Amino acid sequence: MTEVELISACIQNNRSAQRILYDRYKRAMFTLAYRLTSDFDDANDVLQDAFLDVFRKLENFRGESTLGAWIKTIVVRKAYRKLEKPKIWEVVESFDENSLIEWGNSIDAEYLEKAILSLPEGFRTVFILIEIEGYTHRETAEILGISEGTSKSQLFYAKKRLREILSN
Amino acid sequence: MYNLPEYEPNEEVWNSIASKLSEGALQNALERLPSYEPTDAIWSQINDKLSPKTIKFPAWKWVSVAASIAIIMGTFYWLSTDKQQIRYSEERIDKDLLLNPVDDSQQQYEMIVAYCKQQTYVCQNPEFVSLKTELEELNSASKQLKEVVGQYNTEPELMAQLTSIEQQKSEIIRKMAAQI
Repeated sequence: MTEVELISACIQNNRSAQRILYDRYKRAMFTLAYRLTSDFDDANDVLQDAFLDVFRKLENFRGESTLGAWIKTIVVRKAYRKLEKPKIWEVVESFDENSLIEWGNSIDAEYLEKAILSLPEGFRTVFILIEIEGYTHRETAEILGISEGTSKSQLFYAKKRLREILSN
Repeated sequence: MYNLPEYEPNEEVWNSIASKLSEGALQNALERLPSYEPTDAIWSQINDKLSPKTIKFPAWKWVSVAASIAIIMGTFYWLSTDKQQIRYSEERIDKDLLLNPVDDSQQQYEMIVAYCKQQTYVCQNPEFVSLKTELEELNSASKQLKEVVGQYNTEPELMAQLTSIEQQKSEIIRKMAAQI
């Protein structure tokens, strides 16, 4: 079944097709939801709400992006709303966009994961969207309702904090 | 072609490349980050919420609905059948059967009472007094019977009783008149 056929069947409320679509994206979306919320229970809620939205609004999908990107945006928005106290933007000093951070030769992925989850919400959200999910600063700013400058500064200090954590 | 202009990239492009190159270790680690599998319960909850909710309809409501339908259909049937078959009957009053509104015996009795007020001697005779008492009882019985019969004397047995009472009254009045 092609993606177009799958989408069409899902719009027709074909439950088997909806299950196929869910299985196809559930792992990536659940992982994203978990990283953004840093809580498995919250990630469960986000995933459920997001896929309910996906199946109810799938007829609005125009194919301007991939289906995965469309679903990912829904998950990000749901997770962002899930954060109870969204005072996520850390006050940062002025920074030099071109200053480099030395990361060494190798980083343990499991350790990096824990370090990411320990970041403040603002740092973590921007870092995940840009460095892991591949959004641009413009897209990130649009989704989170912030300026591109804020997105850049949050990312810079997120990396700086990560480096400190990994060094210790 | 060789005269076409050339363009110099902005210095930021190299800075960005240098930055990414220096982040090699980070980018490698990011590609190896773990992923997580949601539990099957999530799909069950999604499935439940996507399914149209069936409204439980109690049995007594079905009975109510069935009864209502039966009443409505019965009413329609009755209206469509009986409406064109209106039955009626007409009754006419037979004047000969009507009771006489003027009671002759009552008038005669009242005349005797008026006479007794003047001629007390005859009226105090024990036989006369007995007749008068019997006549008053028959008058009372006649009055009650007429109330039961009503305006239309359709009960032969009652009419026979009334006739018998009236005959007795006439006989008593005749005896009382003979003494006067």
